[in-house]
Amino acid sequence: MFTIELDIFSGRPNPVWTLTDKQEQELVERLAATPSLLRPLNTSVARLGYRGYIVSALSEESVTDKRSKKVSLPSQFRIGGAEDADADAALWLLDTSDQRDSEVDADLHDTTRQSILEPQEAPARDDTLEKEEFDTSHTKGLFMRCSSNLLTSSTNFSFWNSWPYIAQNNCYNFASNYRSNTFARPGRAAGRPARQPFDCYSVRRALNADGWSERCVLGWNITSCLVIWPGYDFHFYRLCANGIWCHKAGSTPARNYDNSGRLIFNPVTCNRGFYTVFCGYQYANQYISVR
Amino acid sequence: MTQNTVELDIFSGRPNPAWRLSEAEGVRLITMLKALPVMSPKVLPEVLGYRGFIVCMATPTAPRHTCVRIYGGTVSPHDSAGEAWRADPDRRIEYFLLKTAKPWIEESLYTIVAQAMQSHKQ
Repeated sequence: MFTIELDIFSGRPNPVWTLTDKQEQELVERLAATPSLLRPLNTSVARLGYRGYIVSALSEESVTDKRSKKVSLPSQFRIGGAEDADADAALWLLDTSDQRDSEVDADLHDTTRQSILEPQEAPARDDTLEKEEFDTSHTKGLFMRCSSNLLTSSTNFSFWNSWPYIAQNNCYNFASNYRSNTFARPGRAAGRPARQPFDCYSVRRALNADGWSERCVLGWNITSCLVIWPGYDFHFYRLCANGIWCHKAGSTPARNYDNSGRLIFNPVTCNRGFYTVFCGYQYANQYISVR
Repeated sequence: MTQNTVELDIFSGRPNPAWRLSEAEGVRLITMLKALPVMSPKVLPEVLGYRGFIVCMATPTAPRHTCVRIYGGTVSPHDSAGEAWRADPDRRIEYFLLKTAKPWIEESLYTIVAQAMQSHKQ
């Protein structure tokens, strides 16, 4: 048996489904006819959005094609996602997601189908284009599951929500898990404070000056993400216990719900009000400077 | 003489805009506040974005600031002093404070706040 994972999301888990026996047989036939469809697991295209499929075998049983020839397949491999990938196979795999209780709803199906038919080229990895990349896609810093994480309670905010600390600490203090009582600003401790008008690029640069990284760091990782109210303000969310994201809006109490009153499991899709631009994730340990 | 500072509670990362009321504005505010009926406390929505105005008042006889939040038809305590909740169903104080904000905040932000007040249901 094979499971198919649609590799498309960044913050939330990808949709996964299991092929039926008939679908499994067809997959084997397609791979036997076009072996180049099969790509190693580590050949992911580094971009946000559709990146192909990850196929995983649920058992080590060998499979056969219709000519009863044994086909040897890796336990995990990729299909689709490359610019020259076979769109027909990718579209067929997408249609196999049409199952009861499928995590691939009509909108996601259509978006993926469009991405397969009109693939976007991966951005050039040229540092001189860094600002342009921010301006066009805004997002930099993918969500990573770090091996060591500093996760505070997602329900008890008493450390933050008492006077006078509640008024003296903002979203950046909360994101850094550091109560400086200075209404902290990214970059201020490093002498390079973020300035208006705020955008992903300028705030991210200030974060880097304070010691934040776009990858997991050594030690206990604090995972946070940056969002922007274009031209006016910035805001942060921090990953807390049980996969819930928490935040503190200015001098208001720290909390675990969004503007719709819902628990935040995904800061990308939660209701963020005016803060419409999602800039990506950043990571730090206790050695960052925040003031 | 009273000194009343007003803060537009709207930002998260950067400090909120704040300004001082003129003496005439301060007197009018106190008069309006005194006329409001007391109400039972209720849960105010904590949101990203517009959250009303925070007014802090001090007088020579009571130099310790007392701060209240004016938002969505209510006046609620905004510090540990524990002032009583008051009802302002027509949101007259909120609109009055918005008017005093005009010289102190960007025009585009003023428009955003005015729209947020219109769309906010009590």
